[in-house]
Amino acid sequence: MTRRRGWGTAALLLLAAALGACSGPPKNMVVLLDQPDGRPSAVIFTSKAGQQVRVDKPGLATGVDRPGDKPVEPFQLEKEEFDKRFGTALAARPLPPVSFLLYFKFDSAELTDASKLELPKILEVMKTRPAPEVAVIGHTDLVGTQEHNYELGLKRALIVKKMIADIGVDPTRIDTTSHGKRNPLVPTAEGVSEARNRRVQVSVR
Amino acid sequence: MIRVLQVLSVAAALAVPAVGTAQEREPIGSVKTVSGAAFVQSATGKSAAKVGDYVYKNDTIETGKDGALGVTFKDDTQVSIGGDTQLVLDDFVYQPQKEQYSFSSSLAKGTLFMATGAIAKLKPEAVQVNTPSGTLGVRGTRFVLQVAEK
Repeated sequence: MTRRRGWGTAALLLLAAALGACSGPPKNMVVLLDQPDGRPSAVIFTSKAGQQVRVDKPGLATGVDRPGDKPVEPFQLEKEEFDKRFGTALAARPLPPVSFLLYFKFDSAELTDASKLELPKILEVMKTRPAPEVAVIGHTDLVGTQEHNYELGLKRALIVKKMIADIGVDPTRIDTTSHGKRNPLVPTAEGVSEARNRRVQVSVR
Repeated sequence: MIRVLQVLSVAAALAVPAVGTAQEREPIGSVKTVSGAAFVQSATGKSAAKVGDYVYKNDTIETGKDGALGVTFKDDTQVSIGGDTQLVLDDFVYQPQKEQYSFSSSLAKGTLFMATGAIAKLKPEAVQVNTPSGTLGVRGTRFVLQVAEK
């Protein structure tokens, strides 16, 4: 009796394994998640054999069971299965960084008055985070040379670093860089004076 | 044997300046969340991960069965891994002033969450995740990825 039940269980397990292999979601898979800002996004999976599947709708997945397989057409992954597979990884995700934009007067490293008022908010956000860091990135508009704007962006970033260090942020946790004019917020032609591009982005993470 | 050691030590001495430039030794991100058995494996060894620890290019972040770990990178990319996972941080270049970008990692096994940051925005094709069964390219996004079987 015991022996027969043992065989029965083994048979059921084998059946489950066989079903899992041919009809369950692939063992190796990617699932596209929604974007907080709702912008279009996509992931492109390329198998070892060079076959590509593009997933551009949040909630859909693709993948393969084995490296040589053709990736499956995008499919909806059941929520229960999603949570089982990815719950732990998702629970450990870091808080998304919070960004502030501070603006500057033309060709200058002096903050606008409105932006000066933003500084204390940076400190407030830092207090809510474990081991917080701040990235300070200087940007310029498209007036002037690459070199001049790199320097100007850096000068702006360093001024902001000093200001937030002065209100109590540990300077060793502040990282400064300059993008110069290479990463405008509002794309313009060369030589256009654009106030919204004369900025420092402060990212608290 | 001694000769082999000499060759090795010469090689090591030569290798140091190559990997020791300022750019290479800068942290590329830091640990933000830890639970259970979670580690950072670097050239100098493997240690239990703590919130605030820096991670560097070529490090591996890994977890035991019940572990999980989250890292935020210098371009604001957020990554976390679930249990029994190994993720190698193969390459990370974020140099807007030179327009040089790269973020490539390899998920050997386990589960990964990624929300891409500035690198994916500035040069989408620079971000890639390798797995034993294929390669993932991203176009400014959030996704989860699992490698369950090789």
